[in-house]
Amino acid sequence: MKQIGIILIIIIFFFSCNEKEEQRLLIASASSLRSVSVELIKAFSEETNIKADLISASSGKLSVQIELGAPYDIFLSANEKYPNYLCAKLNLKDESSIFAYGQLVLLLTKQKQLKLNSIDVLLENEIQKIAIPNPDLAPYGIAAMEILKLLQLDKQVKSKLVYGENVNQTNQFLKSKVVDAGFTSVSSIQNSHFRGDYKIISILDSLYNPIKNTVLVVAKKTFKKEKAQKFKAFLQEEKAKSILKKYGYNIP
Amino acid sequence: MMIKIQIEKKLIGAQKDFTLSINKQIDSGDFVAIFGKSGAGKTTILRILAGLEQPEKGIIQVEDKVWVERSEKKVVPVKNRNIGFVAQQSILFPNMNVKEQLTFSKGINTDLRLLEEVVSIMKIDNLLSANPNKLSGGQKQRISLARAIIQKPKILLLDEPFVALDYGMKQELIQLTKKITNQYKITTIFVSHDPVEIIQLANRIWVLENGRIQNDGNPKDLLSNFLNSLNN
Amino acid sequence: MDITFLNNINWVPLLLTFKLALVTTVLLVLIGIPIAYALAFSKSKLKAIPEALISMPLVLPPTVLGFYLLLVFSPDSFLGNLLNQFLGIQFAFSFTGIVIASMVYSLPFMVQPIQNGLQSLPKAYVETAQVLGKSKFEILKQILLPNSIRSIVTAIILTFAHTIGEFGVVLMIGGSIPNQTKVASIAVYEKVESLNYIGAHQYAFILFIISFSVLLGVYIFNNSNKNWLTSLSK
Repeated sequence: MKQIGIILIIIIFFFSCNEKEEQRLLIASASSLRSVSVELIKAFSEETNIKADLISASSGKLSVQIELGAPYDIFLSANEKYPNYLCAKLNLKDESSIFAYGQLVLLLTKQKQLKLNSIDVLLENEIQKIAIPNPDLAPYGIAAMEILKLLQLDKQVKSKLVYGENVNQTNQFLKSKVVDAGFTSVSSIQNSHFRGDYKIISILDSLYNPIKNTVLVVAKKTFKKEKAQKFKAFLQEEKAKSILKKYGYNIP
Repeated sequence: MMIKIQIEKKLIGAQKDFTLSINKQIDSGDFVAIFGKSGAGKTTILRILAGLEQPEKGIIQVEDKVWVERSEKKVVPVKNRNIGFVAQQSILFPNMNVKEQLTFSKGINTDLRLLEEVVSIMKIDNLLSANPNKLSGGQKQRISLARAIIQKPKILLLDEPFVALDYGMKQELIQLTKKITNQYKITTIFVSHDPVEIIQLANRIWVLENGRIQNDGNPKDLLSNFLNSLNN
Repeated sequence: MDITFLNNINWVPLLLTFKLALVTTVLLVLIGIPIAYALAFSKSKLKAIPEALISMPLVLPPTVLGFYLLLVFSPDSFLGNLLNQFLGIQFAFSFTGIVIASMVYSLPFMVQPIQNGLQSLPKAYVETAQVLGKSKFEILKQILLPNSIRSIVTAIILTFAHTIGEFGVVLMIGGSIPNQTKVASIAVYEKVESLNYIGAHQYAFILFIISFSVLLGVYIFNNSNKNWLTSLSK
């Protein structure tokens, strides 16, 4: 009996010391924006003294959570679709803006002598498996499919495609080299993970619809909303723009 | 009059179904043996008296209390009947030692003297801290019997309790049973196959056949006829 | 392995994971035993319905489960709104929320072993105890639970381990909020996602070591012949 009493006290204690009001901004970013967001938040905090925490998941999942009441203050989405949907659902007018354009790139995991230096290399026999973010869910996947269709390669490479849930999972396939090639974001290759063995094939951005990275202020409480709007404004400043450029994004 | 039992219940037999139908009275202090073939319904009678099963129709009355009255849907729950029950296989709880088995009965905490008394009569003083798993069959049955009578129940039900014991053990337990039922004035109902046990213990015998008590009388009389018929 | 790696780790997700597992397991023991008891001794012909319902979390994908819990408890939903207005409680995106989600998710792991343990006890135990004058509650406490202690310990182990490994449900209804709902499994996933494999290895390793030690300790005790387990229940 005594043991039960002690355990109950422990539970009550655990439950009670928990739900403090969060003073820090909660920034929810799409998986593909994770690495640049870390740096953007750091620069923002330095400039404004406002602290923020980052949560990253797929844009779709974050969107569902926000619709159902998640306590996020800012939503950085890889496309316009989800912010537009939320704006309509939650009655948020003028709270969103496009802050960057994502750039698509093709990576090859071998430096081997391949005949071609362009996207057509995907047709070669040495390329057996091609990683692509899921075109049903991920903006970079949608863009990759657009290019393949435009260049009329889609039917021929279809059997070689391996779908990652998002850009990050695609990067994992590339990093572990279980695939021979893969479409990913330029921002992914900015850090050291893909130096060395990988061959980079750039892609003209005229070949696909722009990937409109959008910021949406979803905070409800006034004091949080003010801070969130500062972050949104910050994304238009020079400091932010230079960080974004560094990560390979195009600036509107 | 001590126990009035007037009940009916349909039972499933090996060859055919039949109805158990009993209408008897038992006097205080009686030691009644129920004798009959397997499947005759002997154990069912005990279980109905204990409250572990219910008759379809009928009344069970103990002194002035009505335990079962089916027409009025009245049934006194098992735990309120203060009955002792000893089964063929002793049901000792694995998580308790012998002393705990005995004091487990309701109400024992108020009467430790009774515990000492029973322990000494049943000769289990040296077994009190033992684990039930390590005891012999005879020892286990002694403890089961002790546990059954430790609340000083008015009624004791025995379901072939000696059947798994060797002759020496059996005799010892028969003597103990006789002694305590006399000392504490317990009315006993005893199911058995064995005429010898019955003659030693019972003052009354019911011969159960086809769901009815075909014979009700003195064991010595009824059984000596039976034994004689075996020799012919 | 760098000796300073222990200094660089953020321990909060690990603490949250163990806190979640502990609280969930204790609460599930308290509600699991009555449920297992009811199912074990029920003679109802409709028993299969609650049994199947309780097994559902075994079958549903965790993210789906998390999603539906979110629908039910979100502050904008009917129930969520009610709870918020009258009790001031918000279940979604809070530690309380992931406790509830974990309890639903791990419920069959607690109920089923205990139910099986109770059902495998000889019926004669209950009958003998009844004849000796005990009430149903006394029988449960003094006979049934002590004699099925191994099943109970198994249920506790499975529930605890299952909760430590939880990911999809917690992510969905917890929102991965640092210091509140971001548990170790999510932290590992995030490290892997950002290709920080070393960081992922660190978390995974510590999680493995602690969980393994806890489980090992419990299994050793469970297998021992001592009666400490039965004396614990007195």
